[in-house]
Amino acid sequence: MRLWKKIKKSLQRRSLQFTLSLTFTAVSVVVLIVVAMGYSGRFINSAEKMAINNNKNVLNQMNQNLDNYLHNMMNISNAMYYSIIKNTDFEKDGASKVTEQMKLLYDENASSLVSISIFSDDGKIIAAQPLSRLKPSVEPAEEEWFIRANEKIENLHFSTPHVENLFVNSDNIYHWVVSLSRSVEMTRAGTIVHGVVLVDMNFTGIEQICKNVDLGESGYVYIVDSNGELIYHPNQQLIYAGVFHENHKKAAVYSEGSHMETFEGQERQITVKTVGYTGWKLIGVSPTSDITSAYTQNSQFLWLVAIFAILTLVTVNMFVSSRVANPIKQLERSVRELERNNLDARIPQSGTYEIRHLAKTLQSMADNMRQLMDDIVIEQESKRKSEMDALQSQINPHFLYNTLDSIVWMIENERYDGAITMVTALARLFRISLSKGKNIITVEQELQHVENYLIIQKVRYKNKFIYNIEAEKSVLHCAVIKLSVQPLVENSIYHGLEFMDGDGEISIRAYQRDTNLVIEVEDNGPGMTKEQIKALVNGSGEPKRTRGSGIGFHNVEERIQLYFGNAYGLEVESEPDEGTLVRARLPLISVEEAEKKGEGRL
Amino acid sequence: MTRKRKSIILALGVCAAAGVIAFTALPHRPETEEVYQISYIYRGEMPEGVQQIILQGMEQAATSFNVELTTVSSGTPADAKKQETLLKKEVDNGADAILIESVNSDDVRKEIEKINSEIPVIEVNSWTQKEKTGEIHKVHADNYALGQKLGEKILGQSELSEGVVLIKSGTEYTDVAQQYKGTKDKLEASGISIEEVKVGADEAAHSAAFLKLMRKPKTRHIVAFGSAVLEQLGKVKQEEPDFNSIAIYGIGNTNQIINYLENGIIQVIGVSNEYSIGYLSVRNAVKELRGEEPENNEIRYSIIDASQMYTMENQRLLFPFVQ
Repeated sequence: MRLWKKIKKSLQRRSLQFTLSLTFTAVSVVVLIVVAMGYSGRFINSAEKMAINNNKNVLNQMNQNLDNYLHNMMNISNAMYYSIIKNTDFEKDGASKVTEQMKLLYDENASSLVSISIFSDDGKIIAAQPLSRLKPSVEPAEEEWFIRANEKIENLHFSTPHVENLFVNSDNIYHWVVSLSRSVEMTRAGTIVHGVVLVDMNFTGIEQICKNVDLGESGYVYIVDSNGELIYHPNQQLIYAGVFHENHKKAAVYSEGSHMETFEGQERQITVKTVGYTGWKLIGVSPTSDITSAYTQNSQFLWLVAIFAILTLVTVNMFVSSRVANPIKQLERSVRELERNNLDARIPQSGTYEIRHLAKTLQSMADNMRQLMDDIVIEQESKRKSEMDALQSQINPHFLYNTLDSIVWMIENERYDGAITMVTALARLFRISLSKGKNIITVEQELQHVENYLIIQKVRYKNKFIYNIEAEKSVLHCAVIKLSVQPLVENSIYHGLEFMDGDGEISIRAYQRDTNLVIEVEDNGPGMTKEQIKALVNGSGEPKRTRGSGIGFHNVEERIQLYFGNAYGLEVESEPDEGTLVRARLPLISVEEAEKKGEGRL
Repeated sequence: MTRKRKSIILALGVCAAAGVIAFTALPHRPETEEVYQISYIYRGEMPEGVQQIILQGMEQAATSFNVELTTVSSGTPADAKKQETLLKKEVDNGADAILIESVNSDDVRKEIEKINSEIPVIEVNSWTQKEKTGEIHKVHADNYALGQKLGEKILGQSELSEGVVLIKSGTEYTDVAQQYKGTKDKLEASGISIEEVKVGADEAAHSAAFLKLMRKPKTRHIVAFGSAVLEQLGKVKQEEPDFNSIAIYGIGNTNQIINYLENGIIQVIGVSNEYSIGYLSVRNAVKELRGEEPENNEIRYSIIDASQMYTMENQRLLFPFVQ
């Protein structure tokens, strides 16, 4: 359970494609392994069954062939007995008649026979083919085949392979034979006597039957008699020489069917088949390594196919999962772009229907958002412009009110010249203020405006101060925001000079500093403490104005920054009792350039 | 999809496709066992007698171990130079291993040692003697013990007061030399008078030499080593009824010798299991080729007279059961 949770947790951290690939692959691999294991097991079972059946079939076939061969030999023996011996009176007919008939029989079966012979019950030869002269050293009655024939007279007896050693053989050829002997009844002068018929079968006949038997790569068949003596073995001579070993003594007691045995460290499957009449046993030997190698090859082939199938499935899984996951990934990437406020990001519409639908919806949503954002920006810009206009428009009523108030006061006091001067200055002031509705005017115009203003104020303040305006010629045509210097001069008058008894002085300077236009308004008023400067700059403690145009320090700074950016604005230098200097820093640009720039911003 | 992932998918796809094609298009062939070319350099002009049986054993092993066997005669008489040349020639002909019934010669030994560093060389039946070396693998019976056993048998046979004649021929081959020495040592140890008669390599001259030898009244017991000499000795005795009283003993195995044994021409023969020698020599060569350690198997031998010929054990020794 914990493992499952761990896997689940781990999968949750992985990508969709990885999860899909892994899941599909794991399921496919498990299924394929189970199938391969099942088939492999079936291969093994069927291979073993096939091997057993094959061995049985081979042994059956071999048994049939051997049976035919032995039957043939028995038929020869029967023919000798029933067709020749039974029809012959050896005393009356003589051995020559028998010999002639035996010769015919021998010639007919020469390929499988070495000799056929008849012996009397005391071991004397009566007739034989093809050779008839016994070796002097031979005593047939002492031979095993003779003894066995006489022991069980009703049976046919098959010997183990031995070298035929009865007859004199002038060509020095020694044959390996299997002897078939039986006891027979012969007629001699009308009397029944016992004798023995011997059929020496050429061992090559049995060998031919056995040697081409196919029992797998290293399997073979051998024959043992009931005592476990070898009748035939493909390595018979080597077994006799002690070079090769066989488990034939033990195999002789095996029952018919299949057995497993381990001999000299080798596990072998033994199939046993009993040969009729003889008591011989056919023993089929199949090393299990032969059987296992057959199914190992098949199993290996199966597993290789399974591995390639797994590889193919992995490939297909990766391909399919990438096809499924990629559109989702692209969608996710697009959403991330949107999260980064890139509303222009295009959302690819690929993949399945559901994903395409989702992408379309998202795209539509993004487009709507962008439209809304654009609308908000336009609205905000419009609002800002309105504010700017409002700020500028704040100047006129206040100043007009104050100036007109002064003029009224002058007329009331019959100071008509002064009133004329003020009205003239006011008229000029308004002309510049209007400036055809432009926000940007030249430094020269602004300074003229300031001078007109100072003329008016000087009258109003009864020449309590003097002023001085200086400007470098090169900056006169540079751009400045309309009514940006005048409020500073106004502040100098109201806050610096108003409460002075006399000798007030206001200096206005315009000059170029590096790439900037600097306009300074300096007074010799009471000055400000550091705290006051800080309060002024931060806008927190600006003294409440009761008079003047109402356009303060912040108004000017806001307008400069609104128009030219935050790199520009106002600086204040002041010391108590030393006076105050306010420095306006503006870009050194022409009116046209400023208007262009301003359009971009406003 | 990244380029890397595409490459992986492509590689897996190609791999899977190649595998499927390989398994569907190519037939499944079982591994074929390597066929070894092994040359057998034997003594004499033709593989006869013992060499014939050795060759039969070799052929059985050749069938079992997938060997293509080439037989090469080193001629008569034994010629070390010729064996040297044949060794080089077989290497040049691309033999994977060489089996040689070598002449006991230093030159042959050196050549064998030289070749043995490249391909396995097995000395079969006869070998080159060198003190304190056992690097060259050999397959042979204990010929000295066989000689001694024969000597023992001779000692038990009959009256040996007139001594025993040992035919000295073919002792340039170690097996014969060892058999000769074993018999001689045994007889000498029993104080039997021994006459050594050397016969040359010329087989045509043997009959006359043996006839002359048998006509000597003193000659009553003759011992010969090697099938050809023993067979010739038997032939000479068979042709002259006066020689019936002469006892012939020897080591060798041909059908004619067995016939002489059965018919009392030859009294006793010593036989080793040459079939096994042939089989084991090929098997050991293959084992060496496969990088396995060759096995040392004892080669059986037996001393047989006419009465024991057809015991099951002697039958199997005298008449190899050749499939």
